[in-house]
Amino acid sequence: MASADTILRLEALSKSFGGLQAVRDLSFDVNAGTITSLIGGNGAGKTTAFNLITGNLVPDSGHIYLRDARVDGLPPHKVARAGIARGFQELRLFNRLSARDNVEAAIPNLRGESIIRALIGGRELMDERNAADARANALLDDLTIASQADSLAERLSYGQQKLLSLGRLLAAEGELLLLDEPTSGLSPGMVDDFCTRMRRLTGNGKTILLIEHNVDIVMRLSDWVVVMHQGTKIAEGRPEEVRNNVTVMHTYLGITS
Amino acid sequence: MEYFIYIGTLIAIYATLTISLNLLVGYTGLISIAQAAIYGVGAYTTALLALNFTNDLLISFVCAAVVGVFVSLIIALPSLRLTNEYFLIATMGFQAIIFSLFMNLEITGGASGLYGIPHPTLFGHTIRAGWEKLLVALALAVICYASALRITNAPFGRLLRAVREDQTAVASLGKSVFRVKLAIFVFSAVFASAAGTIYVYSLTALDPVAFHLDESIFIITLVIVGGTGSLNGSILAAALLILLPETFKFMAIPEAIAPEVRQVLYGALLVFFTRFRRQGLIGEYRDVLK
Repeated sequence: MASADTILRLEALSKSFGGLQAVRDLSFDVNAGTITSLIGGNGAGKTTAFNLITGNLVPDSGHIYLRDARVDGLPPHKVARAGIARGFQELRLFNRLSARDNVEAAIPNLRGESIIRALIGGRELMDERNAADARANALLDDLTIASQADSLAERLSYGQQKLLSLGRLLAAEGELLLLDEPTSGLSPGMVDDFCTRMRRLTGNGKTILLIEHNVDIVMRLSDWVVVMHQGTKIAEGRPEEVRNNVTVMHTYLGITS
Repeated sequence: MEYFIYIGTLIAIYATLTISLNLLVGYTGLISIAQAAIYGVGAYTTALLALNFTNDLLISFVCAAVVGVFVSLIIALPSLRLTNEYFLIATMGFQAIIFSLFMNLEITGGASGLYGIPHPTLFGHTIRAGWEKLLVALALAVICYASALRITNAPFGRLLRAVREDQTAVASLGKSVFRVKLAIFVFSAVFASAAGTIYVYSLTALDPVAFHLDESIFIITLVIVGGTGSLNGSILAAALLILLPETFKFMAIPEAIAPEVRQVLYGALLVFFTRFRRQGLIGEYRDVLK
């Protein structure tokens, strides 16, 4: 792959838990402005790879570069500040905060989040609050859940919660978005909506790294596909190349003839 | 009249302690069992300062807060990285250590505590009368309430609640969970220590038993009865639970067993509220632990 516009590079990452080698010698690049999908069966090591990238796990060996900066070994909040925003498979919303607060909690560099500044108060904080409200309302509006802005996140339907988690992710303003099965549990109509949104995001300069189980979505949406099996990368390429790859057909897609 | 003034002072002290602990327990999900220890550090600092150096009220507040924050940092640094249940146990350990130091050090007067502490002075005026001390206690409670209200209504307060809901998610948004916890822990310690200053000056004596584990559990009881995450609830609970045992005096309960009856009552309330009304009297949230 071209290296000029590489935003994320994984170099020979390995991670084991006790005797289980969850990720072995994993290397691949993610190009800026693209959608890259990470696919593989259960236990292939996809979520472990995500946890390594976001700093929730520390690799046993290997390196991770965001642009030119090494991010392996950094704690999760520093990785996030470097520009990687992560969505979780289990959503991890702030359940007893309103939908709007969920989004606003993700906005970076709020002065009102300092206890000292909060105590001092003042006009500046009011302006900041109004700007944050406006930003959150715009995001919720775009995600078609503006009417739920004041509801607790736990009161939203599952589909709405998925949208809200995307809203929170976008408010964090990372340039690289890591999405863990964003379409699972969604109705076909919502899946289409999600695909449209993701395309629009890459059009707006975001890069997406996706874990996805639905092969149709992967083939339709991805610019690049990385296939994992038992912790290692067994193939990568454009969607049609991967689809025609014999190893992949056998081990992952389950096609034998 | 003196009696009612004393009860009023006590309510103001406990309202301050309960609000300061509610910020940890109710807002941030940090169940600390060391609040009485920090309260005690403030009290001992004030008493030793008054006996040896100065009984100036403002200097006492500042010194109590500085030492209280110092001790809270010693508690916080190893404990704050732990998950909920382990944090609780670690703070209980610190509570036990600090209480044991109060009971056994020479400088703290051992089991007999410290007495003969002079009345405080404020701008050259000696605060001797009970009602003056009540005013000081009320002033501290009001400042504590107002600043707690301010920070919990600010984006900082939202961050506290977010930490309570899901720490992993907070970190994934680029915000340091440890920093948030540390900030609120220190803030809480400032007011808990200041409450210790008021306590010492209102009694002009100090008994280590007042800072036992039971006291920490009592403050938690106040937080839970009032409602986790409700500042008004904390004040209400402090008032009710201080007044309730006082009514024993007007009932046919013998003085000798009154303290035991009180413990049973508090224990029963704790069980009742955790089982049947987890949001407390006027609280917002049902569950602190997830």
